[in-house]
Amino acid sequence: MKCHRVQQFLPDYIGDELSAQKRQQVDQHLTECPDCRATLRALHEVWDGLAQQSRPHKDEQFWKELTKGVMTEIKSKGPMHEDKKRAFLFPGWRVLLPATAAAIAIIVGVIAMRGGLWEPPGRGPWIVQGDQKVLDKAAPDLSFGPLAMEAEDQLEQEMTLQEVSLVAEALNTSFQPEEQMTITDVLTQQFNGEDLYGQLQGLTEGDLEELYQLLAAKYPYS
Amino acid sequence: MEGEDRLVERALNGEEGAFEELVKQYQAPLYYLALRFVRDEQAAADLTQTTFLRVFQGLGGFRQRSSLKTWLYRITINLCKNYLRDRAKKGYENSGEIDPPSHANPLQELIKHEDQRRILKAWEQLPERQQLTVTLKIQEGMKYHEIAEVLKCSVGAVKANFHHACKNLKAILQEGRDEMS
Repeated sequence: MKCHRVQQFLPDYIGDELSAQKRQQVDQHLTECPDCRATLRALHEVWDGLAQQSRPHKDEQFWKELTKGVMTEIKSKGPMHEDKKRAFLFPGWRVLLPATAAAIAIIVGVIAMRGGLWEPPGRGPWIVQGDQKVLDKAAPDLSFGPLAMEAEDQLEQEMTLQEVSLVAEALNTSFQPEEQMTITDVLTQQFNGEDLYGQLQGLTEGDLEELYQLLAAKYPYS
Repeated sequence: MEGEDRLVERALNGEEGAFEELVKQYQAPLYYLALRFVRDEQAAADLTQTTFLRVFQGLGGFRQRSSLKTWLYRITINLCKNYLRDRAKKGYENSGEIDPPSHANPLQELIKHEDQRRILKAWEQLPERQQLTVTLKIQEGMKYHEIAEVLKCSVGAVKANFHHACKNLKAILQEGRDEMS
């Protein structure tokens, strides 16, 4: 194996991601090549420097308090709503919910991207500058990406139910009341008076069924 | 220790004790993960708490296709990103400092601390995606396929990001050395 090839493998080598055969080949080369050994050493230094970054020690009391805080907060939210449980567990929704969430994300994304340029037929422009900012914020939040950097790619992937529930959560908590109003207004206008946002917030079977039918008619590809 | 699947199942059945057990298992890694990104202990604790709240609210939809761990990490990272974005809007800049060595440490500890600070500074200069990949790989010890699950991208993309990150770190650190000499 040549040096440049071995050096390409070093991050995988140090990260224990090589097959046994490749690892053996790299090992063999390293015993014979001081340059590659030096490169590996340098990589090890960076690796160790990052791996051993100091982190503040927290005593048992801190973790107890954290657990207590979480459990208190959860208790204040009450048990998981039965309707919500059923909606998630009902097999049909395993198909419908991701499609609905994908459609919502697409709609918000499209609206945000097209912004003030878009004008619904028969109406005047209704996205004012302030609204555009809100929609720009909404689009990545509703695309559920880890960093919303691959939002478009992710829309093509199957979404999991927990992500759908995160969307609902995002709708409830990620936005300021005035921002929620803007999103509600925009989605309502987009859907000719249907309170899309309000329907999704509820996450009841009836609302979602209606919403899904609406979205399926308007966005058959989703 | 009870299996994770069983714990999730019990939590799904409304057993508070089971959820509390999950919190105890994961609160430390999630807290430190958040702390690495937000550099604020109170914020890291709040984000950890919010992660568990979201998990509790979304547990009914957890299909166990991915592991609970990758799901938790994904939520924490999302929350950190939102938090950092909001903080950036407010014009906050963190000092980028890490804890100094304890006063009992010898000179060697001081050198080590300085090396770590330099490496951390280099890490901060990486693009966000590479920062995340490096953190999950090196500091959290995840395999490429687990990182792909957390970041919702392909294993190939993770690998490419990690390789680029290693190359960039090397270049940044070399640049720093050249400037010093």
